[in-house]
Amino acid sequence: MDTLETLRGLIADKFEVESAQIFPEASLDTLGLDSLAVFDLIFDIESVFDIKVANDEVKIVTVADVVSMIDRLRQEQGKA
Amino acid sequence: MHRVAVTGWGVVSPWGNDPDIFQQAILNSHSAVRALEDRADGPWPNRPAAWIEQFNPRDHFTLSQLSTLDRASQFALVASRSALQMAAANRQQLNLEQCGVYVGTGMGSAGSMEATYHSFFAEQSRRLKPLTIPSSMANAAAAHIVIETQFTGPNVTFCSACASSAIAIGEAARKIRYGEASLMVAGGVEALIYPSVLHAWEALRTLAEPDPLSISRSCKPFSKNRTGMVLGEGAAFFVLEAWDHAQSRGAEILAELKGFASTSDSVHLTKPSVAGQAHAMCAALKDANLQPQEIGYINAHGTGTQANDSTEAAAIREVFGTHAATLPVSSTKAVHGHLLGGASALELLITLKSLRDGRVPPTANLDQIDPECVLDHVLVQSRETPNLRYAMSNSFAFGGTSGVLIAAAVP
Repeated sequence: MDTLETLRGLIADKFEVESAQIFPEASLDTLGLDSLAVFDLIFDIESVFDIKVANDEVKIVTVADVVSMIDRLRQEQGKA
Repeated sequence: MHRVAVTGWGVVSPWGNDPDIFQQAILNSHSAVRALEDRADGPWPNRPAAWIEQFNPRDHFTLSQLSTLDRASQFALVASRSALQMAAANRQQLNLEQCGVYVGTGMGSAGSMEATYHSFFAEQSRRLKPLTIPSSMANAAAAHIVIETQFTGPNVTFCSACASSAIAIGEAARKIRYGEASLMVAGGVEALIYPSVLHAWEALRTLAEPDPLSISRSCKPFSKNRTGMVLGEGAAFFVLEAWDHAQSRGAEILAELKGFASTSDSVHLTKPSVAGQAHAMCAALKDANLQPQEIGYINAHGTGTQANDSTEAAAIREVFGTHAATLPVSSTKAVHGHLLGGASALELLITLKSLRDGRVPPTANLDQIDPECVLDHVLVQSRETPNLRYAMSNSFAFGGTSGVLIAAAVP
């Protein structure tokens, strides 16, 4: 599973953001995701990537932060 | 003390969001009442209800916005936007600190709560949606309206069952009257047509039985053969302004909110009281500084339950005396259903439009006037009331809370 591509699809569909805007350096804030939207996104990430995201993991700013968090948790939780 | 002007109104109803089309439907007794069992998304009780089919959230909101918007908040936002648009109240003209939002709702975000419990209990899910709380809190609708309008004055949600929005509107009017706000968006909303809610109401033995000949005629306020109420959904919102504030920005004044009272029966959880209702109407008349004979129309609470209608009719006769014999009264719940916390707002809209148009709506399905409910009922067809100057809108809630509003036509 290509984490960035999957995440891009998730954000594009859920928040109606142009896929082209969802590049690694883009901040979630500039994509229009406020703190509640980030919680909502994490809920879907947990389902799609089959991981558990702890409360102290949610300090994510950019798309790249989300990708690296997902990849690390998949490794740690044996889902990679 | 400031006079309170109404400068805008908006509605979300089974007939769409155009207030003129809505009023025509009410004047013509075009019933929105249908059989719940015809819906595939049950299980529903074998009871009628009046719900909104043509409301498409995607016409009004992005997917992102919808993640925190319960159906009730959606209705409230759409109706309040329409009211503000009608009032032509743009942000640049307003001192936002002097503007606020008061909302009345009975059951709040019933749909979000039902979906959550379904997920938790029926599906045994322990992963509930993260936005469950902010989207289902009872004050969510009011919060969304202030965020959208950027008003920074008072923002309060009133929850007093069927009188909720009368109180929201009445208290908003007082805020203006006493100079504590210059403009308020006030109204009410209810979105409760969900299976568990309907079954709970059915269990209380208050819902009308389906009329065997025509389901749309199931709710029969003040009629001897009435069997109960029909639940409905929707929203109505108003822009209220200090009279001089409205005039100074060149707004069209549509009506005046003249009086308001909220009182308590303090008798029983659900049983209405003649003394309590009469007290509320008298207090509203006093607040409006009007004599009973000056009222030219009453939009009754008129739920269609045995207890309410005879109680309300007796209370009206007690307050208005001989004038009651020639004072047009109607209950429009027969066609739009009972919106609980949104009912007073929807019925105030009907009342204000009646004042403006000089025509009051009938009580639909009033086949045989109950001898205990004798009043000057507007029967079958709407009635022309060219000299209508002042009208009253009644709301009497479970819990014994009454909310009575009095409005005046603007010459």
